[in-house]
Amino acid sequence: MMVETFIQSVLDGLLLSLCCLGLMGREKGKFDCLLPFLFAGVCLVVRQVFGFSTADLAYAVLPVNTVISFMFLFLAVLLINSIWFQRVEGHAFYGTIAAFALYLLLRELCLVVFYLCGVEETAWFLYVSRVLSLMLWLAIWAVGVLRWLREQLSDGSLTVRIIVSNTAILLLLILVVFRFDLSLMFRWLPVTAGTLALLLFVDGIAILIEQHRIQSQRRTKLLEQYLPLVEELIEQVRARQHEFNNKMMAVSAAMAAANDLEEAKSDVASLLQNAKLDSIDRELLKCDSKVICGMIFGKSKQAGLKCIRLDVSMAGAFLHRSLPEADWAEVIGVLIDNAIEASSPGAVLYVKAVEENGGLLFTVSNPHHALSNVEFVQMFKRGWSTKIASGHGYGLFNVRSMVERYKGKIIARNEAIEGTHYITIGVLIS
Amino acid sequence: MLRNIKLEIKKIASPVLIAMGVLTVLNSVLSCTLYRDYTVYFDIDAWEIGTEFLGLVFPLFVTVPVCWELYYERRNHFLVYTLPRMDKRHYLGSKWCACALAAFLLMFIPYFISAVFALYVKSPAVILFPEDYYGHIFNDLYTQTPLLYALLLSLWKGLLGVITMTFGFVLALYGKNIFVILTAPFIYVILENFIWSVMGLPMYRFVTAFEPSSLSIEAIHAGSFIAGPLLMCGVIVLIALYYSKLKKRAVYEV
Repeated sequence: MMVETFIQSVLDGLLLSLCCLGLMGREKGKFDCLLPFLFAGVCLVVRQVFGFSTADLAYAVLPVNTVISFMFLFLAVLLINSIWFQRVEGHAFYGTIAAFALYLLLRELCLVVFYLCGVEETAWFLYVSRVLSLMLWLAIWAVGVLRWLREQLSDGSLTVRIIVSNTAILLLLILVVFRFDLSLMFRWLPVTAGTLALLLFVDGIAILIEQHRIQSQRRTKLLEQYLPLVEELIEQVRARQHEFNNKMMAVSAAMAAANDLEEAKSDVASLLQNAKLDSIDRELLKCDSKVICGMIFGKSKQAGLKCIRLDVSMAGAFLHRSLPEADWAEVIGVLIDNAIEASSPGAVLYVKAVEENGGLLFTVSNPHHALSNVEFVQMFKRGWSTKIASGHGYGLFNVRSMVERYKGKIIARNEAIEGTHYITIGVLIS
Repeated sequence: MLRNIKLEIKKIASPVLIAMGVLTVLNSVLSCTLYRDYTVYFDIDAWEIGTEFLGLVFPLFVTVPVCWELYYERRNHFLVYTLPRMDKRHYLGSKWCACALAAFLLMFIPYFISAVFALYVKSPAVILFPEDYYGHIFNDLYTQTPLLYALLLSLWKGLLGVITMTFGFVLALYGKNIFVILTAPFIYVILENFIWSVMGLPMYRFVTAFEPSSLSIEAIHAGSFIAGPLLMCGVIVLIALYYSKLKKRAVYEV
């Protein structure tokens, strides 16, 4: 019996420590391999001190079987986490709750799966399900969910905190309601499944609300950033309008004063030579998104400072696409910034937006020697950059991630424009 | 001084009132329900049965809602801000008074109100008068004037709550880990309980002083009420000396 308790406690401690490590991150200068022993010790002590039940499956989920003893286990884990991981209080507290939520989720999921598979051997519930939980943890860790959760907890995301607290409380409540008796839990499986479905529903709504809030914040930020630029553009057009009116008056006078048609034609042609909008301004006024218009206008000014000219051509709509306006701005910003950085003074960059196959093809071309397909693929990998300093190489990777998320396509090709070799990078979004 | 105490009370009023409300409701409900599964001789037995849960976790309730504030004042350097405006001892003294009052009320109100509920609100229990001798600490008081017994014991528990809070308060003066500060009194009570029990002297536990009916009447004597609290006071002084003299840690920095 003692050996069985020991093995189960070690497995419980291992899973608990992996959950904590995954959600709190590794600590420099500390031996991570010691943590499972520490947690195994806690599990063993708590189970021995509060272990009043002799039923086989009483400790199948947790090394405790009452709320009071769970409180001791939680406090012990919280204390160890706060001392072991030098994190801020919020991360230590919610990280511990998240670790218990993950632990309970994995354990209860494995036990329910075994029950549904018709397993009746106790050993499967006690040992194999514990090993399966560890493997499931590995799978979750491998796909990067734990890293994402850790970052969110570290950033103090309110939604993630609510979700992990919900999950931990509800999963624990299921155990408490069924008095830690698995047979009772299996007998009322529809209730358990219904509660879990409700949990998923509530958590899903919380995530959607959070996403909506983030989108609104990004949109407001973009508007604050780029609308002043649009105003500048409009101001520039107004100034040209005044100049245009004067030119028209001059044309009218030239017509009245001309002796014949040829002289009138010649006078009008010379007067209207400069009476037209700048091509970039004219194109930008066609753009249906004020934010994107402002951003490209700003980029053109930025390029102008480096003596680089942007040739803009707008023949498509950005709004009402699968890619939100804020993400469009990010994609366009990355592509134009990269093109400006890769160009030398005097270069002309081509920025084009055209309707193609029911989608919008947005491309940016900059002078560059021809690249192979392998080099183009390499360019979109995480961390790839031509710069030596660290912290670069995430722009195109983000563009690729965003485009993939919205089922778009990345466009990359070599082109020859007016005798110069260009590379064109862009996106096609439906 | 009184004005400062009032200001300090305002700072911790919300968590203390919430904790007090929760504990009062919980204690009252448990006192009016749990006794049904037990053999009850007197109405006040229901109070003893219903308040067992709080007797186990009370160090958390007198520390967590009260002591966090001092730690955060140290961490955000508010304490340093008060230094040129007020005497250090004066400020910390006012703070301790406010915390002590809060800890006292956190124990006294829930215990006493739940006793009133157990005695006068709950449906009267079927009282089985014992045929033989009925032994209980302060037997006459317990059986004849149960409300006075509850009042006195609630006052005593309030005082022990103040000592326990002081443990957390001293840790909050020097500690750097909020979780250690807030849970150390609880862990101390659990460990002290375990050690005295292993040594075969459970009458000297802090828990015995807090809940004298947890042992048989023969084992209880005056020392049972004094030993646990005195030992805790000694530990508090030792901790303060360790941090201030040995580790040379200053209160006004984290």
